[in-house]
Amino acid sequence: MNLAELTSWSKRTTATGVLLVPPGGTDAGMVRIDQQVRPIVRFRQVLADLMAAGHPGYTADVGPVTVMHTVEGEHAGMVTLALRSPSGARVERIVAMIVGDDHYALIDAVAADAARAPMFRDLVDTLTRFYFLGLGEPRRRRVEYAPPPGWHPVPRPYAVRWIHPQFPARSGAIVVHHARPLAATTPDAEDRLLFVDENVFVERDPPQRPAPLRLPSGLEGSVQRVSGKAAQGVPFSVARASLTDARYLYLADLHTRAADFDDNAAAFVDLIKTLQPIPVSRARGSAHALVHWTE
Amino acid sequence: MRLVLDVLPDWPVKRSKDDRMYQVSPHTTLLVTALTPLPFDLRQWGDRIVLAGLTSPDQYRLLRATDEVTAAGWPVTIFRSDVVDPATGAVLGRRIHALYRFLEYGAFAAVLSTSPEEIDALEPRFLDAARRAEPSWEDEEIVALAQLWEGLEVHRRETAEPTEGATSGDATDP
Repeated sequence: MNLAELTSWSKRTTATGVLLVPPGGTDAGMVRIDQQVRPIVRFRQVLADLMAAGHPGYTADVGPVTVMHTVEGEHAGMVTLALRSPSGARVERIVAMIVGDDHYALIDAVAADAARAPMFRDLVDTLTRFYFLGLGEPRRRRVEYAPPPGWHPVPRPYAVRWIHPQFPARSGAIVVHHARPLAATTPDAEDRLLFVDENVFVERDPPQRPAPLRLPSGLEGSVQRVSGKAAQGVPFSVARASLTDARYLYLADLHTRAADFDDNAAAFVDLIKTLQPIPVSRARGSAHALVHWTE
Repeated sequence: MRLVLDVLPDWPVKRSKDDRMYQVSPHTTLLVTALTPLPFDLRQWGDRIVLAGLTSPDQYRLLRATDEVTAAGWPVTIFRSDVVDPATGAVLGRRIHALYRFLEYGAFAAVLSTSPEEIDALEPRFLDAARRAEPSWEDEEIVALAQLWEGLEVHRRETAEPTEGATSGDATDP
């Protein structure tokens, strides 16, 4: 859909965003956009909350989620819900979530008129792809990867530590750091010193040679194992995967007792293989992008 | 993220955010908390928990404190204490607190009663549950992008070059 068509719609500002109503009024449907929604929760939870608030008692046929990167290079998903009321009335709801660093934008369209449902789907799709979070790039960002099955996530600022399913009886923690801009700066070095580069050793063995790593996703770099003795003289190992593309540095660490290294290294390598490059922004300026609204 | 402790299903539960309070009897309650970041001063953290609800530390009489590990290996400190009348020394209540340390997070379970006899009767069952308690790291807020679409069928769309059509009026969808 061409966004210029929205000039004939009414636009109402709400406390959290805008409400868009097509010509002819809300009988055909409407689109609500909420900005800066916190915290970021599972899309499934978003849909459940919307259903409970907007269409209680309706049954919903949830379509597949179209997962995409916006033009800005942000993560987004869109889904169509086919709703049916207890009396048999049908409504289509198209919901999209555009995910930033610590908040998301929610686009929620209700198509009450089945004939116009394709138009609403098209509109939400366009709004989503061109959505402006305006977070800029490069910046420190979450990385997409497949978490190790069964491991438990322990959140940290700008990182997640995945601990072994039997932790602490069994050692093993994989830390996946947010990707950071490749161009190193003094503030970046300070941050790495404070929060990224941990030294768990009281006695360190001579360093091993890094092993080169090249992923199908295009990321390249190396993984290096460092061993030694941790507190109480426990033999311990840390492996660090350090990967780059043209824009970002991707870091992930494995912390484990040396005795558990081989088993935990398998989970670590499996995770590393799934690391995806940060999506590229394809936004570019356009004088034609100005849309004039009629209230 | 919260502490998971086996409780009897017929104990009425009252939730306050992630904390859960169970009414064991008219005299006795069981509190099981969410995981919260541990402060640097663990002693102060513990004092704040075991002295909660008392108007003066004089009302607190420690009977026993033991450092243990749970079945899964997490450190837990168990405090057994009485609430007393500072003037007379009369026992007004009894409590057992189990304070857990899960990496940088902490949580506690506590059974509190105005009836010392009820606490004594409940103690074996509570301690058994407390020693088998585990953290649940599940949270409403996601920590990884992979969690965003969990439980839903996903179709991945390849990123397309944007056209100006969506905003300029002279082209259509990429």
